[in-house]
Amino acid sequence: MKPKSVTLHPDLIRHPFSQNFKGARVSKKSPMLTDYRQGKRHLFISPKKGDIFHICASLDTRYICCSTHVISHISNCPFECTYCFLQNYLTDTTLTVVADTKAIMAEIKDKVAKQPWRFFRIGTWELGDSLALPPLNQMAAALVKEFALTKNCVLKLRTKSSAVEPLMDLDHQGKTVVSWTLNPPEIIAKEEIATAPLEKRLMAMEKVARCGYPIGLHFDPMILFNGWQNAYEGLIKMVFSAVRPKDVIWISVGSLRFNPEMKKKIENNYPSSKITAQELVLGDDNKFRYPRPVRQDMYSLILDCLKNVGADQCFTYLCMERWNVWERVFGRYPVSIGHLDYLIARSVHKRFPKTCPTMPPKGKYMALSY
Amino acid sequence: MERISLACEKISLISPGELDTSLDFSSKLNPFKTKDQELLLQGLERSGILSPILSIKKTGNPNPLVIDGFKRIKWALSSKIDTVCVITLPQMEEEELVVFLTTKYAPTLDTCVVRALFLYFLVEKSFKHKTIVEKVMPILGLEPHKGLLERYLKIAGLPHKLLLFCHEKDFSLKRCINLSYKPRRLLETIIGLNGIISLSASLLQELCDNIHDILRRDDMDVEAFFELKQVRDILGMEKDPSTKTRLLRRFVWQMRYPVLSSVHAQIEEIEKRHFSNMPFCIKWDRSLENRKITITGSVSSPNELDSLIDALSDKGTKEGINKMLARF
Ligand code: SF4
Repeated sequence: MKPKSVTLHPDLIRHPFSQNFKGARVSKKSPMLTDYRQGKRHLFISPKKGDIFHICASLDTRYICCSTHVISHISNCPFECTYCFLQNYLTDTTLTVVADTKAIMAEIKDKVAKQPWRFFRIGTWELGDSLALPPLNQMAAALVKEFALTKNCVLKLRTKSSAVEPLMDLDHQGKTVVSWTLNPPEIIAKEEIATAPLEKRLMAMEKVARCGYPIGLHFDPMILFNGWQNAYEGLIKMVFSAVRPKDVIWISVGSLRFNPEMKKKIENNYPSSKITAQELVLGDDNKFRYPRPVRQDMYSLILDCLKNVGADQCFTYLCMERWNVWERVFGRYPVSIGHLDYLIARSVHKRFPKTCPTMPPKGKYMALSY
Repeated sequence: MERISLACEKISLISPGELDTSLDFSSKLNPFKTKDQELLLQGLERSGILSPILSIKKTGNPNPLVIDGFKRIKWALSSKIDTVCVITLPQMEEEELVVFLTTKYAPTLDTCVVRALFLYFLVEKSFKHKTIVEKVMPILGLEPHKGLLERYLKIAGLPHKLLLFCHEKDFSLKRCINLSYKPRRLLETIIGLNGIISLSASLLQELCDNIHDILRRDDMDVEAFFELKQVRDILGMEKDPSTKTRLLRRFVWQMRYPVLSSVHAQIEEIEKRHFSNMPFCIKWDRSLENRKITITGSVSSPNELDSLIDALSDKGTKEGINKMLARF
């Protein structure tokens, strides 16, 4: 997918990343598009302005969150997932990429140095997909090289694409996790418009796993439809015929959730989607979700399937769920957000020591406040 | 046509039938009664036409285009009056005319529905969207946005009976917009039930939202829904509207929220079995998200306190609470 137009900030004219955009319009200003769909087709390459490294904005202390960190250097996305929260979030919808890797890394290094004992998982997907466009992929490759030199960080690329070529042959030092959001083909076709089909995602996954990258799997958002049980069971079988459980660093499971204001937006933008017509309840975080018993059934099914394919050794966690749901699904629950952060770090240290070389100090994680 | 020349304007005596009243929005308001309409008619009955009709010249139109005095003309026609006094102003620019009309009608545009009808009326009369957005909307206290105008125009297209209902109940813009996105057939059917059931503003909204979601989820059409045996039975029963309303509302809710309904039914069953004669109340989170039971009781004497403590420490109470918690 090629952007219809590219605007380059003059400060970046000599930046190596910009060399791929000869002939781009040069302007200090973003085209400032407001239409969500239109913005997806126009790229603005921007210098870094202000802080872009922070904890995931979805964190809510009433839920058990994985407290991942993110760099918000990508804004908007060429894909068209019907459930995407960006429809209701962006004011300037222009697909924007902060290209200044050095400045991004300087901010990260400065901030992570304040907690040298902590294992930072840092995602690039907060406001977009990590590998959706060739320009983003080069950016991702630059970050992979930078992260290879860090001590207590791991870069999390998360995508629904199959464009992994720029990641091949990089010396990643196990410091980058390439992850995929996964759904059955029925959902990809109807609700994840313009993304790579499942087979392509799996082929890409196989390739990066062969290059030694740890793989992350995100069965999130799970979406309810007739026959969902068989479809998700089939999905897990397909995934684990492409990669081995020992390649998988973590698995997250979550279900569809969106703000009430999004309902109308989704119905207008994607009238044939039925995701908003399912039975949904409003949670304490003002997000619609499937009723708790339904979510529990969905998550339990995933866990059973993972067990059946021998992937129960992979660290699996629920995304943005309540402790009582954890208890129902796993029979136990992390007592705090810091506890889950610790459990993830401990699992990575044990299974992927190159990625997290030091044993995480439990006490310090438990004392974290959010 | 008799013409009397005045120093400042031309005043003519014209037969009311010769006047072009195509800019009459007040007739569109019928039967959307607004505050001033009835008062005005009463005044005309009492004293006749006291002030002249205001009109402008329009190229290619031999008849003066009336811009003020529509109700007087209507009254004159119905009272079989031969001529009325008409002041004819020179031609007006579109902007000037639209501002005049809006200022004139603004005090009567007191609900979202009539504002929507007025904006639609202007579009129908071929005033430019840009002029409406920039000149009219601010006078009506609306943000001058194209998108907002489009929303109002969509509202104006709602079924007439529903518009009347929304006007009477003074529906907010948000509510009207919400309705404007529902299938027309559904809106017509639900508003057609008014009288058989007791429709309030919030119930109308609730039924529209829930039934629309059911239709989309189950790939059903409006007719098929209202043909469901349970729906036909409720609407056809020999009961008062409020009973039918309650039953229909419950049925729709159960269909829209099957999982919640069934878990609530189980919890209610436990409540009935264990706590029906207890001196305290049991409440639980209706969304089923939080595993939490709230027990409340009030006492007005030491004896009542003793019985409350006894009831709370009863083995059956603990058993009932545990059963309830197990549903979470
Ligand atoms: S891939 Fe992510 S960011 Fe892109 S449209 Fe889908 S949900 Fe939104």
